Amino acid sequence: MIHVEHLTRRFHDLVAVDDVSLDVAAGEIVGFLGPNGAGKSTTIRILTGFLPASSGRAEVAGFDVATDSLRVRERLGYLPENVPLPPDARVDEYLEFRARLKQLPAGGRAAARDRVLAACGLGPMRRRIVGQLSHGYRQRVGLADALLGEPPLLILDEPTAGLDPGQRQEVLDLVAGLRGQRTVLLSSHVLSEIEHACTRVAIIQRGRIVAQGTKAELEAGAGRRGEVEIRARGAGERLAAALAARGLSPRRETDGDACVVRLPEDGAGARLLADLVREGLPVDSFRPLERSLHDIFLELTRSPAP
Amino acid sequence: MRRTVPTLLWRELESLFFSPLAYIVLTVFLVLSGFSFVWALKGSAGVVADTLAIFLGDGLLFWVLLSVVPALVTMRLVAEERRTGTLEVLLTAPVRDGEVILGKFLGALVFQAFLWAPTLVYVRILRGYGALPDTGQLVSSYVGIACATALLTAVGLLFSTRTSNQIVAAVGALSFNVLFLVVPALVREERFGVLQRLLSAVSVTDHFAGSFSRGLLDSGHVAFYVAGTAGVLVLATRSLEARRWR
Repeated sequence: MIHVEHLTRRFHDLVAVDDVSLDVAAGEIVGFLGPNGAGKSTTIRILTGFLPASSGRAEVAGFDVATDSLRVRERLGYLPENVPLPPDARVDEYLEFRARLKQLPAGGRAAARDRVLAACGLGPMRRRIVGQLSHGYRQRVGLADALLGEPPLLILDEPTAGLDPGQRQEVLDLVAGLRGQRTVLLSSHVLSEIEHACTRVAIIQRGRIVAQGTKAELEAGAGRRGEVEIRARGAGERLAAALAARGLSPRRETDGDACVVRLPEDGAGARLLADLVREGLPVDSFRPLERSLHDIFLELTRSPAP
Repeated sequence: MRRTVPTLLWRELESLFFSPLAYIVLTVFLVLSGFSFVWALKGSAGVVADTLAIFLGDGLLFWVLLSVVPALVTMRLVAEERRTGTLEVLLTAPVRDGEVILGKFLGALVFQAFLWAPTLVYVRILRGYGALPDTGQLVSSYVGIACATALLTAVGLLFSTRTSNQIVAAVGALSFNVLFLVVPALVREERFGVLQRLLSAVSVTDHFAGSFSRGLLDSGHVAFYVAGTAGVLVLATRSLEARRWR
């Protein structure tokens, strides 16, 4: 549904999006995760046709976003960051306007509007003026607009920003409920939201995609590249000495029986285990330490600027 | 068939009438047009044709209204949407930039029709006193007002697409309108040669005075305004599209 190749966007000297490549299959809910200012919104604005890329290309539903922008927008429901809405319109009148703009057939417009009003919990607010709504309800109006007309692709830029925990959960449940029915690109800087709703994650930092995959793929990948915990019951001292002799700088665990070491390369684990057993160490367990998505996110996004 | 332009026009009208500025403009317009009518009556010594010519074409207040009102009505059309961010929501909907410009332009034009409509009351007043205005002169004057308003509204809209500050848009459009109206009048003498002929050819006031306020519907003058309006609207569309250029 989304295919992005080497996308770059510069604003004078600032490279906001740097050689981003990304694929999102139909029916997937992909989390676009990164700290504030990482380049999420700029990438999204390019995908929606609002901004051009400096180089690279992006396709949505098979249409180039630069040359076939209108066709892309016909298939897109978009919730921008901060949900800009006209303050003077009533909720239902605004959604009616948007339904007309999206060329929904006259016969089905009222039903479509009522469906999104109900889905977003806006029924009691339908006659309220948008400018008088709380931030949470404004967010819902923006989401209702994005859902209007059941577009095959939803791009939601920070859809839960400014919501209280209950409202946040409702929005995430709503998005999670779309799994398999729509394609969703959900941008956020809050990891727990992405974990809750998304089938796959792309992490962006300083304009570059630094990791992407399912949660399990990212954790497993991080674990293989990471550390192992080796446990030798009653032989913690000998274990630490054996590891130190191999230049591995072991870190003793608090129970004294286990050590944690960072492996120098992939595949070194099996050799190390065989050597330790050959030396007669009573190795009870040899476990790659998997890092949680939280750890991976922090590690990737806290790395110092180049 | 795409019906986005009427949708945008209607939304623009709703938005204009919701804004307090609309009612300020409406009130000031009514007061100034009232003054303008009294001035025209006094200046024409009761000759109906002259009264209409001054009120709807030759009077200074008429041109003040014609140059200021479009700049005020159009200043927020795109600039305010850009400032508040709603432009992003609008332009990521399945709507062409040209349709956005046309919808907003027509919305502003219809709003100004509401402003000018009450001036018909003055014609009714003249009839009440037994002075019968010439229908041809009346119709051609209002056609001229529509043409000139359309051109200056398009200019205002163009300025509004270039900034996110509606005051900047208004000042830009107003400055342009004043230059557009005043400069040709300053070089009216023959000694300016080509410059005089060139500025006269593009002068909004010359085209107006030579035709509409005299009761003449000259297709050449109408074509000047229609072509000028269309040209400026194309520029406004290109200006809005410019954000998509690499």
